[in-house]
Amino acid sequence: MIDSPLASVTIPELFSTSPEKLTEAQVTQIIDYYRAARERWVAEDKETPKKREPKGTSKPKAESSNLSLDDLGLV
Amino acid sequence: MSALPSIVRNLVRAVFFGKFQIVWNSTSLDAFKACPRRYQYAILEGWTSSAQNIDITFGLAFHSAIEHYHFALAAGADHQVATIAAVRRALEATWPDTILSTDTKKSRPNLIRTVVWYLDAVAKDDSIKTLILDSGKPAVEVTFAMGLDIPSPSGESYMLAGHIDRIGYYIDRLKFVDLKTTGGQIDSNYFSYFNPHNQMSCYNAAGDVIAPEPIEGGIIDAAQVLVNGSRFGRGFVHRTKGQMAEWRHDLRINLSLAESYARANYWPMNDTACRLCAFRGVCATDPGVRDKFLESGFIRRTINPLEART
Repeated sequence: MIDSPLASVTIPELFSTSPEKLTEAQVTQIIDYYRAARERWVAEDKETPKKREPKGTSKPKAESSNLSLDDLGLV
Repeated sequence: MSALPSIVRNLVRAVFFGKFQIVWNSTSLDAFKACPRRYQYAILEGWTSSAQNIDITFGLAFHSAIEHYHFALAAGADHQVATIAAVRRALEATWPDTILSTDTKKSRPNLIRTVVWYLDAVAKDDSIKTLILDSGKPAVEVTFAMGLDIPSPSGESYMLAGHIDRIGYYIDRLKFVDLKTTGGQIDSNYFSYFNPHNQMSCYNAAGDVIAPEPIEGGIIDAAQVLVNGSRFGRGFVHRTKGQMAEWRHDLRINLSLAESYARANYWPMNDTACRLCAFRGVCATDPGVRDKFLESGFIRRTINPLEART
């Protein structure tokens, strides 16, 4: 777990805080932390698409054979 | 099959009549169909391994968070406010923070990450529009119970019960939506696993009676939880009328079999289904010491198909 550099309370500290004591701003801080992580993940995924996709993995296009959300541009 | 009220939280009904299970859900049917002995350990006696417990806790917390998101949206919240409600719920459902800490994939931070990523990647601009019930509530976490018109030893009809994660419109067709979390790859092989698939057939059967119009198949929203990231995939479930008739016919035979095992107070082992079974180590021991193995390696959970998930 990496600390959020701009926050006065770190992400690990937020995770070890009782949820009922977390303010809305602190929950938002957690959400923002993971949104930033997703942006990095998606960027890395685009750069190295085969890194996490084993050979032979197909992504069918029709409903009957299922769509990948990657195909739909959702990830 | 006759319909009973879809919301059964206040329904007073005994799940068991002695050793006879009267109210069945997909989990108990799954166990019974795989191996009567597994059914005895997991359902009748309620034994759960710690690894299974992590999967269940992670899955329930994920479902609960997404449920809160949809409820917040239906109450008028925007995506951001609903996401805050969902994340707060996921944090609450896994507090104290030691509940999931022993698993590298299904950890508490990875749960929160998966919730945030799923909501942003899938739910935010979802092509599935959640059905709003007559009560004004969204059709999320819909608990159902329906009579099966099959007499049981208690004198009542057997019942099929369960929970459907969400019901919504996808291109003008009403479908059930089932959320899945997995550590494995999500691809066409993963989705092919759901046909045939007892749980999906069970939901398909319930779909005939729990919505204002017939449900035409289902959608599986799968989340792959990795150590460093989460990926998502969507698959479709369809059953023909012939397939459903076959599933109901088999259900009747399986209920009859379960009755005969309960009468004999003996649930035979299917030793061709041991490969991925949590109880393999127990069944590998001498029958005389199995109780001690269960007590030392498993915990007990109460299983009630009529109980709403929270």
